[in-house]
Amino acid sequence: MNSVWVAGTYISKFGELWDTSLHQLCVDAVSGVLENAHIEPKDIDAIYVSNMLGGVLDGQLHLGAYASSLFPHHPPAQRIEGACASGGLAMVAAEESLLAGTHSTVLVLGIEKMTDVSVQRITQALVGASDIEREYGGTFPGLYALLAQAHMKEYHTSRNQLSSVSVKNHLHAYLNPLAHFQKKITIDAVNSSPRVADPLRMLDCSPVSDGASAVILTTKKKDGVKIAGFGVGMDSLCLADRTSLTSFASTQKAASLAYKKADILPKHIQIAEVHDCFSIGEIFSIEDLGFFKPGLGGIASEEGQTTYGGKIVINPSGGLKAMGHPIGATGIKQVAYLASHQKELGYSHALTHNVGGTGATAVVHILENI
Amino acid sequence: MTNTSPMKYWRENKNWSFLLGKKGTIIFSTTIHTAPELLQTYAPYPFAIVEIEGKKYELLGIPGETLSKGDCVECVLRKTANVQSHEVIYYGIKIKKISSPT
Repeated sequence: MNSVWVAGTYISKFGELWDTSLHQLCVDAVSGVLENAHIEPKDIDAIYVSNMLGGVLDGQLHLGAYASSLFPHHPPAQRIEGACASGGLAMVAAEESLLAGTHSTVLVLGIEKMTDVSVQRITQALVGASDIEREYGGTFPGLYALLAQAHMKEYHTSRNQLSSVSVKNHLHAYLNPLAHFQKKITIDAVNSSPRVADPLRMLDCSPVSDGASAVILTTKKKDGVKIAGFGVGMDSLCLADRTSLTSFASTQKAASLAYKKADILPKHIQIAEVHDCFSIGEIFSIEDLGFFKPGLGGIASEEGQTTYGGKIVINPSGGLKAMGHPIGATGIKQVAYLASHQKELGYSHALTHNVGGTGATAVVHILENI
Repeated sequence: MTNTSPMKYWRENKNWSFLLGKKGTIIFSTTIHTAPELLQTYAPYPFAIVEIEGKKYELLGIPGETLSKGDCVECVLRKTANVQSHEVIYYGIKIKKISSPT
């Protein structure tokens, strides 16, 4: 059976890129990843474009053709949308086409342009990731705030434990020149930042960012970083329909599938990029992925178990919180970042975790450095 | 209760009107300070998961009220969006606090 290998990666600078358009993000990502992979444009068999808000904020749909137009042979291309999990789902679509033998080398491209509009406009647009009829009036931070309330009530997760997630991710991003924020913050700064949706404060929240990422996947390589496993999990779109508000069944399902395909256990993962759209999101992630027992994610974060020198390194890039969260680019950035750093950091197994909505969709990938 | 066209408003509200006057209990609640465009004038406002007759719903609260787990609430008819003067005025269900657990 074929294996899927990472042949090339690209990540743009994340942030408020006022002089860069959606089109320029796309052009730069395509040329950057081809150069990194040392692959000619004609060798790309198909393109999978991840994007959530191009149609809403930029009026630009038909993003498959948008990307394919950059290639002289116009390879088949399609846009994949799954809210914040768009990137992870685009990776899966690409991998399945490779494993089925339909293609042998494909481009997965994530682009998002979010900072041209007001906070109120982007807040309205992001609500589209929830059930807009049954969760009317909720905001994305508002829904995660309800999850935080539930976790705090059930496990006594504290304000400082939430803040320690943001502090650690900003520390990691401080070393990442592509990060939206290269700025260290303190527990006190998080605790006293403006309230967004109680108990979440501004520094609990990932920013609105512009950015692009890309990977080229192939079945033609025999060494380097391999996609050892992947899985997709789904749950109800509406929080009120969930049986648990302290975990994501979608993440647990996706992780179980990925671990099984890779034939490893959570304890074998040494480094991971997880979906910390809000500080509570990272605590959910590290529990649902099996790195820490339910209810212990907050304590582990506060004790430094999720950074270098701890049990596992979580979000070495700075995560969504500090590297930034250009939605369509995030899931692909996670794979691109770990694939490009895994070898130099000496980690054999790495994991990425990408969530759509408030856990309605989750995608997990396991990377193996051969 | 989304706000895109009068027809959609009319169609969707038929699915919500049965809640009017019913009472429920707050499961979890938050106060939203950063609101979407259509709700900006109401912020900060409560948003909660509430159990009504054995089913869970997510509903807006009355601006200025603070809701807590265990509070008893009633579904009332209120404006649910800040619209332009030439648009349909949107009404829908909000939850109003009746009492807190003693």
